[in-house]
Amino acid sequence: MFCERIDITLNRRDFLGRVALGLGGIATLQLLRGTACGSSLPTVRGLGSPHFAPKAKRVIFLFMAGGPSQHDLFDYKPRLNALNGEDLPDSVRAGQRLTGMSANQARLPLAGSIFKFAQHGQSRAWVSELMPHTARIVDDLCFIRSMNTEHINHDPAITFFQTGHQLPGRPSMGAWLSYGLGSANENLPEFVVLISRDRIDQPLYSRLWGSGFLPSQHQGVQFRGGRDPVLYLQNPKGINGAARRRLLDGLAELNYLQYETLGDPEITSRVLQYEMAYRMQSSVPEATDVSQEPPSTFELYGEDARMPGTFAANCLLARRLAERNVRFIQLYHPGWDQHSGLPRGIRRQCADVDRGSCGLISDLKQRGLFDDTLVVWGGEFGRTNYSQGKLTSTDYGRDHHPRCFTMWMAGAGVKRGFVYGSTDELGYNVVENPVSVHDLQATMLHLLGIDHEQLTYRHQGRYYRLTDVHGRVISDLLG
Amino acid sequence: MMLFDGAERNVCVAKRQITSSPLQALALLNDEQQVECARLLGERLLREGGLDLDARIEWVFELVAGRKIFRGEKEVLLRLYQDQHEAFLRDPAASQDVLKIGQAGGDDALPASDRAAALVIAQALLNCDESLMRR
Repeated sequence: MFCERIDITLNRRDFLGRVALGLGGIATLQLLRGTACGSSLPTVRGLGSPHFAPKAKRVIFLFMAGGPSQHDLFDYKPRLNALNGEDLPDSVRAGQRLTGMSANQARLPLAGSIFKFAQHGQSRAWVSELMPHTARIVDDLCFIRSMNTEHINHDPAITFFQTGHQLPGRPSMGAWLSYGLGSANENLPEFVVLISRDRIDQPLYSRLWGSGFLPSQHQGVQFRGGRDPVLYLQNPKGINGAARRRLLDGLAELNYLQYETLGDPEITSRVLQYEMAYRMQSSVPEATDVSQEPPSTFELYGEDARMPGTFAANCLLARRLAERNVRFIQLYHPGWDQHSGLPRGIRRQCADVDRGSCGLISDLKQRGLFDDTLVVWGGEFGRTNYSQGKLTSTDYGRDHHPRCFTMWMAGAGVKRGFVYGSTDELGYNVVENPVSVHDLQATMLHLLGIDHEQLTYRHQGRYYRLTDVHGRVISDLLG
Repeated sequence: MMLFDGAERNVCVAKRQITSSPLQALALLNDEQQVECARLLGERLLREGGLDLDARIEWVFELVAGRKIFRGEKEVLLRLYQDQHEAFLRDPAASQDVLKIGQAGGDDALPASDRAAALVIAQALLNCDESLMRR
């Protein structure tokens, strides 16, 4: 059920009248948040309801920041292994640009993977020995081996992935959904961000989950990777719930008077955020308390999940938020940027994420959430098939590579046990069924019941959308 | 500064991103330092604001917002003060608790219920959009 969102152009009598009548918080909340369906007040909204019946009610995006090496995880290339150490043929590179980090190398020696690959499940999908847990669930996954992006450096590439454009300033995907579909749980933010601790190599700026030109009430809310996911949840000693409520009502009235003078919708956003903060004071402790989770939970996610801030703990938290209908849960696991020392680095990364990702899928299945939750796993680009720096029998590095990389999707409305697209025998170019970032975004929105060409916002004289003027729904991926 | 999506001070930012999140609201309402700040501002309101409540609210509003208060705003703050003052009179323990927050000493010569209610007024003012953002 998608309620209409009530606009900020409320009239004063309504706004103040309800507050002054002592309906207080609930009235303010209903008024601004739009639970008052069928009201005659003017409305502004993204969609009000989806364009068509959604398969997915929510998204968990497991973002592997830094760019994981597809050659060492999912895109098995025996030919690359056979030609290990030989020069990247010009016929394959075809003059394509390289990053400044390896463009000036005297030679570009092809680097096969030192990791063993095997086929798994009924789908016979290839997965390397680095991902033993993921290998067990390949029949639930939909691999896309033909992802490609326009961007070759981290920040533009991640910004592009999250917002559909390489320059900062546009809304993140979660913000678009918050705007487009509204809330499915009034007590928690629609868009929550969880970042693994201790694995920062490339910075993640808060604008990646920003609302861009959308009202700021749609921006992602980052939960911390510590013992307290949200700080300052407790009222000061001596201020009880009623007193706080009274303060917030007074504050809303003052802000409304200000809004009346200036007409800036950002003032309404602030009132909404204060109301959300009030509700989070009771909803967040409940949602984030894993102390009552049974031992079986930690068998699924691994013991890491007991340590706040690990990827596994964030996966568990993501499941708890998904259960509570948070619409977009964005995880980031940084640390995949292995320009050198790749074998060691990628082992560590896989140990971080393999069990947690697999545990999340299994847990969602057990709880009946897998059918209406979309899970996406992948980074902002791939890595080169040649070694950056010295290639030895045990060590190599890989530079950024936007031409092809592998991701997987799973859950709501996505084919299971399916591999889509392919790359050439050296893993440099896509040869079949390319999927661009805009295509992936269009497909994700489609699964959420949204026509990506119709979810728009007018800003500075023109309509914007997540997929800009690109993107097509890849119907082959849909189950 | 992280909660407020503030730019780092060692770089130039051509355009600040718009931001408002519930995390900011929680910090501004519940962080000990913020409450202490409101407590001391409340005491100043009582000491320096004038003889009656009307004058005091006008004074503190101008101090925080940098402009004269409108009538509607004054009504809101007067109601809030009276309401909270009654509540703290009924519950002296609560006013004692809230007045202990922070390290700075308080002005014990002033009645506790006045100080506690003034603290709430100061919190409301300090959390107004106008006090936080330049529009």
